[in-house]
Amino acid sequence: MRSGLVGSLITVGSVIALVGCGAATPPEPARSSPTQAASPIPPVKNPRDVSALARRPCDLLTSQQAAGFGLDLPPRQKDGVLGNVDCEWLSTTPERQTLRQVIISTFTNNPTLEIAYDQDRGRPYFELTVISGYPTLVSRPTADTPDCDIDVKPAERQSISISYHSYAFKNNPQQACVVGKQVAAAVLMNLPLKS
Amino acid sequence: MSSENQWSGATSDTGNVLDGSALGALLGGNGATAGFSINYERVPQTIADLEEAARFVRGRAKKAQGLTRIPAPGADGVSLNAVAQIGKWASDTGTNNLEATLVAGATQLENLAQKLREDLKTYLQVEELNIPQASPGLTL
Repeated sequence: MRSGLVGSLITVGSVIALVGCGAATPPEPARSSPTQAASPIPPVKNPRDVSALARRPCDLLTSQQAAGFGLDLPPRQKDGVLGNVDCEWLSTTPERQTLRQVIISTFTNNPTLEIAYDQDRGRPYFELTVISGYPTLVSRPTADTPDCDIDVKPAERQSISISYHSYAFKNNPQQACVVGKQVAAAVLMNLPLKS
Repeated sequence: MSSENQWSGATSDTGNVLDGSALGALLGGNGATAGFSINYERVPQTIADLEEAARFVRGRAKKAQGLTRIPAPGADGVSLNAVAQIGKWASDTGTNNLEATLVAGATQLENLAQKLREDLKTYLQVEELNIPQASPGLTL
């Protein structure tokens, strides 16, 4: 078990290193091609500022909202994979069973939805939708586990990524996306409008 | 059962209470597990550690997903292809990508912890277990 985890980490680290090597060379500016298809992600109206809370992702849900979703307090801030900061909320029983696990990441200079649209379309579940007026991708990494990934675009090149897991939905895994969308809506309301 | 609370050849120790359960099969000495013994007092710690491992692995799945959000550093073919390949490996449409594998693994750890929890309750004939914190330094 432990060696498996270490193996995964080493592999992930190798990939990150590979990306790092690529980034060390000054990149060519991205150019739009005349043949490039129009983005399926709709434009953002009334943009909200993710950068205001990017270094404090645990403030993306208030204590009251977290309690409303059945999450324990306090949440834990963690390092993200791309130099960003994540926040994790858990809900555990007195018998240490994890009922819910919510992890939120922020991106402040990344075309996340445009990239994710191409990457995630073939997943067991995939949906381009709108939450509280903001473009959102909803997907599930596996067909039979109660896990849902949600990417919201509150502003151009800014996004919030939410992973929602609930053991209670193991017999109805699609329900993870229903509650996950509600978490996303709550997070959006906590972002200040861009001036 | 010994005074050290060891289960060994548990068919006789557990009677029929655990028949058909994962723990019963393990303790019953079926096949490769013949002669295996378990200190059942350590099962609660094992449950806590399995749950902690599941949380950790699911967190790694989230990081794997993050690898699919990397923009190409340039518009050249090598950059575009590298990002596409990393993305596919980390979280593509198949079932063998890193994120899906980690999510499935976390779920299996959770299911195993829950099965042990249920079996231990049955054996101890209690409604609720006293499960400790996960072992310090368990996760990386």
